[in-house]
Amino acid sequence: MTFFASLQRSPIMKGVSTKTTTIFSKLMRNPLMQQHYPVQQQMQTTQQLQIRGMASKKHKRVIKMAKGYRGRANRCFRLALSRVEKALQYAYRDRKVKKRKFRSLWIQRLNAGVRQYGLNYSQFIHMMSGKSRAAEGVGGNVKLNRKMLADLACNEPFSFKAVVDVVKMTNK
Amino acid sequence: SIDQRGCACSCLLQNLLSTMSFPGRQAQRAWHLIDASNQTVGRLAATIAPILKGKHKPTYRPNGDCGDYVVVINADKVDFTGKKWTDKLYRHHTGYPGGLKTRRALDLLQRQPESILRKATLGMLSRNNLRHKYIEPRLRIYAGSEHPYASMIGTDMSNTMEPVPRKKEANYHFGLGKGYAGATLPKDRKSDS
Repeated sequence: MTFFASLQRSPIMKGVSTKTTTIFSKLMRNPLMQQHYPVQQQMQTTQQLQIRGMASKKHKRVIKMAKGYRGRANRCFRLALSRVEKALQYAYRDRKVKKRKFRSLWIQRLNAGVRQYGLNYSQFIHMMSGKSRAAEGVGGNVKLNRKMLADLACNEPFSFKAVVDVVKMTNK
Repeated sequence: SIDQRGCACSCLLQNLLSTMSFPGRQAQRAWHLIDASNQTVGRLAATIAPILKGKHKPTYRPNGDCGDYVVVINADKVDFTGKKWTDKLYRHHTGYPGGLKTRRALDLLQRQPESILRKATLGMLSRNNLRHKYIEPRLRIYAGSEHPYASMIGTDMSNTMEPVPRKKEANYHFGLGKGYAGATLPKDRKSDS
């Protein structure tokens, strides 16, 4: 039996749970030990623990963001920091780029959807916006945006055909 | 659903499973037959490439594999305008010093007739894993008029896509004809156009 194993079973450890605390802190909690080692020393150790905690909090935050990174960058703060900073820069930039990319995708889908019915995207938008009959003051009643139209073209083909028919009818 | 009456091209829809990142939805892939005789190479390739990529579908997604199969026959009867048969050069380097190989289009036609159209179409597709693994294998080019996909496409030749016009209209639907996959209401309901 090792020293620590025998210590765990000794009367010093009586009444102290052995699951989450270290041997040292268990020893310190025992009243017999506290007689020999006064309270001040205990306070020092907890203060030291608190100071270490503040620095390692920032480290832990960065390393948590570096999950899945290749090599030691997912474990070591100094390596992770630059990669995480770059990732955050990309995230900032791409939040704006995402809006552009989705609009482009909706337009591509609309183009494909509308060409099935003998139009193309530019003609369709021109007719839908009411500019083709602006002089007469007719048209422009379909207020759907590209996102909704693309969603209809993709998932609701009959509704999409109805919209295309309405746009065509107002522009005969 | 296909409007059988108006459709000028053919395709048999086949439900095939499994694609790159296509959550919860099966890809429907159609087979298209193209007769390449007397069609200009670049113009034909420019209509084939979007079909392979899936851009003719309103369910297009750039990251998912949603293109169709394209079978091209009579690829050796394809045409170049001008003096390209003698003047156009296909070059590649073997990697060894002095290993630049140059061939005229005419010579390539004799060695590997399918590769003229193949190079043209693949040059119009993006170079990424999606294309190399999934899209490229769906382009089937044959020099003669025989192809092994009679079960997919059917044996009568009236199914082929129309030849690419010299000048495309603004609403050119990727070569597929105006009746392709248009949503049709059931016959007892009224519909316009």
